Amino acid sequence: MIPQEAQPSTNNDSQLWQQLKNGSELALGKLIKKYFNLLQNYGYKFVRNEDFVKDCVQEVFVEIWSRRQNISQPDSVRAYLLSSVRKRILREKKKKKINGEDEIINIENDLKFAEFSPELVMIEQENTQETIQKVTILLNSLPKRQREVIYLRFYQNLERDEIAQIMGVNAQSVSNLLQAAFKTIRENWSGLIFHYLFLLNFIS
Amino acid sequence: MNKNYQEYSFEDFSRDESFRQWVLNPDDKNDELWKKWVFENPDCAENIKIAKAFLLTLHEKDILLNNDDLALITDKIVEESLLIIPFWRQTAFKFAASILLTLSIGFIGMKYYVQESSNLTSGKITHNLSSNYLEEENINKAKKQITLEDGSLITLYPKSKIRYPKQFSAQIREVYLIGQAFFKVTKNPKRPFWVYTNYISTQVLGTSFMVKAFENEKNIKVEVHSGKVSVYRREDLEKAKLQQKNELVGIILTPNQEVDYSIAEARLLKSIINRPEVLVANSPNHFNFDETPIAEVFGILEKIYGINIIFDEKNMENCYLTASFSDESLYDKLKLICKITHSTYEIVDAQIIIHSKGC
Repeated sequence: MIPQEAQPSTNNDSQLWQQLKNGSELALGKLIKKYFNLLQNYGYKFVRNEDFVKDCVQEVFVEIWSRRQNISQPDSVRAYLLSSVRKRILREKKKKKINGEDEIINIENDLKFAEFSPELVMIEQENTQETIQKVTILLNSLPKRQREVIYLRFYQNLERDEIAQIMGVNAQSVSNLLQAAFKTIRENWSGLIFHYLFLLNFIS
Repeated sequence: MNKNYQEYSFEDFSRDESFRQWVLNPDDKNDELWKKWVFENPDCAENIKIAKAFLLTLHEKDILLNNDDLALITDKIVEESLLIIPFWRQTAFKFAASILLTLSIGFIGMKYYVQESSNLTSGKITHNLSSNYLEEENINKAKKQITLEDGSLITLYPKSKIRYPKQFSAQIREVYLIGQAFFKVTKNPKRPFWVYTNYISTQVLGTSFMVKAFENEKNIKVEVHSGKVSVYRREDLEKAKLQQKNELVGIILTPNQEVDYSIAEARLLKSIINRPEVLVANSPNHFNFDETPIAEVFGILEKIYGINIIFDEKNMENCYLTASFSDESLYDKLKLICKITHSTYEIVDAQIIIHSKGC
């Protein structure tokens, strides 16, 4: 028995975008349902302030909706949204800094990808919990750009071109960053797996 | 459908939509399917575990919004963007301004009108209205539509009379009114549109307005429905003309505002019209507020009615509103808000002032 494959989403996105451009509130609702949480998640990696991030994501949709007639069809809706959120967060951060409200959100000069701090997953088996901790340490040891590339690749499920567009670099740089990150992960991972297998054998 | 999951790397898994659904949004169905698959394919367990750990590390569970929250956000976005559609983009605003004007000097009656219009002929206002003009009087019970040569529309109410030139001059469009009329004026900034009544004169700056100047009423009233008008006392206007001053003492009215001229007091008083209309085209007729900060509620009312609401933000910062508004009047909405927030309201200079003791 093979788990059911979820519907491919890219074609669907272009259709939703077209409907949104034609003024469909339903399409807007579907895009929000599909992407709002993912976008919040991304924003939260930069600024750990829920309200601030929520407002930024909301503003991105407000702008898209109010400018829908003049907006063009992006190659990738997902990448377009992520990149809009990234830009807005940077802009709003600057604004807040100018207004002297920076104590709330801990301003950096540049967009800084925060360290990952996963919450404990209660339902998971202990060994998954342990793996999560290892992954966290491993990912946090990566340079920030690599960390963001890994995040966009794994969590946001993006292609190289899309990542390049969002981070404002060329596709080759994305490949380089990814390769470097993978190298670090593999090098450090083998020990982990070995350790795990060893432990498993030891127990049994 | 049958994917080659056996050959998947942990990266492949973490990018697989079905797998992601299971890890990030587990439900009974996908949980059963995947657990079974993992059980049947123990050699993939390690990759599955790592992929899972990657996704969970990057996930942020406590900032997730549920579908109801997301639906509310959608509604809010649609509402807000309606409010910020620029006025010039709305077809309803192709006319410059509409006003309702009513003039009243009852005891003198039509005789006074004749006398007053002969005053006009003496060149006080313009010679255009003294010769070569048309006069329409509505003695019926129904309203009468008049189209002027510039395309402007006048709805003349019963017992009302209007005088206008066959051909407007190149510089100015002028009409003279007794009684009540609704104007929809074609926009033409180069030829301002003036409505004269006995005591006050109204210049159209921007589209539709009502002028009420019946002779048997003690007040003259100009109500603006869209666009902008400025209203002057005739005496100020004439004085200014004599002294060739550029500075005029007038009152500018925007939609949902009115000015009353009390003949006894000879002064103009700005206020809010009796039944303020929603000014924003395609505005949703339903507003659902759920624990909404009161400042936000007032903000929305201000935008849809174009009326300033003044309140003490500090004082009311703990006031929240849970209510759903539909087509009740602005005043009914205000009454409800005041009841909930233990406050009262008054109208001063066409603005709403909220007095609250705080919540």
